[in-house]
Amino acid sequence: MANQVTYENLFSESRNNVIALITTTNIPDASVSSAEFRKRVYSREPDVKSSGFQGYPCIIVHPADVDIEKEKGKGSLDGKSKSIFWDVEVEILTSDRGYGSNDGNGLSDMDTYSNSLVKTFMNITNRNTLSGNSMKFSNTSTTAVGNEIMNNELIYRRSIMLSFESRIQISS
Amino acid sequence: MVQVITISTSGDFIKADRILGRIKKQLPAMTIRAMIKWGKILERDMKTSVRQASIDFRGTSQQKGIEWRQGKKSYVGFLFMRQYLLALDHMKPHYVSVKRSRGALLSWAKQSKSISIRRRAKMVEKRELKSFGIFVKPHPFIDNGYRRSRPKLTPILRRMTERAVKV
Repeated sequence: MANQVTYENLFSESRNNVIALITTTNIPDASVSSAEFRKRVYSREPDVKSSGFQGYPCIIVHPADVDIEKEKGKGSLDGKSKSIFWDVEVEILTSDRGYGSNDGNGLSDMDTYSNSLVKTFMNITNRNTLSGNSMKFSNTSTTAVGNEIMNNELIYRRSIMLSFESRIQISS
Repeated sequence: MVQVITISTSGDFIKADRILGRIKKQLPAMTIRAMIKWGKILERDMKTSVRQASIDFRGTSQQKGIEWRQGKKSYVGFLFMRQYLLALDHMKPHYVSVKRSRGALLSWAKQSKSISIRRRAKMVEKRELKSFGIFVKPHPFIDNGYRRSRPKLTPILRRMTERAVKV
């Protein structure tokens, strides 16, 4: 559920608005049927050894980073409005390990998730929704896929950096 | 890296000069901010890498043990790391003697995953055994942390440059 970002919730609501778009409709989860639910969105690196971890692929939505325009003379005359910039980093983690035909799907899972995520954040309806909630000029940049061995498992990793900006009221 | 910036005004040189002045002032500040931003990401990824390698028994790496330091007006930052973390990353495999006088090592040995090490550590603590040797090997984590954060530098620099030149 997307909500308006104001000076009272600069950090929390900006991240919530990003998470609200990462739904099973926008980013389908191929590893479970549509009737099932699997936790796959985390705020930090998941503890893969804990019983609560429900497997790869998973998405990490890092805390939002907020920059407030510093330059003098750029705010409003009454000093109540300024330009705000948000950066939210979304990481996708997939694994090559799986049973039977699901084995060795790390890279294809990564591509599927990346396609869906970029498509979601480039979608004009979604951008308009974010814009309506004071997160305008959304921009998506991606990094190359890296792989690493983690707990004897080959993991693929890609970052999608989302940035937004808006001139909003920063004081009552 | 050379970047060409085209400034177009409707023949107003004063406006063009003002825009250039703003870019000259903003670009260095934004580059510094971009480096600080990336440095914090590098610090976070390095700490995650240490946690995943399960090597930091003392837990100091998660606090001030790994830290990005950069001056307010400097383009250069450094990732500071405790000496023992560097040793854990790239020491040569060797034997270490676990004795009563080596408190941190003994307390690690008492919580080791190996039953044999735990048992002998308790014997050392009770003075039933003077010392015993364990074989230690490196657990590389620096490469992993760096590999994770390096690709994020270019998008961050690009974004901050765009913000600086936006007029």
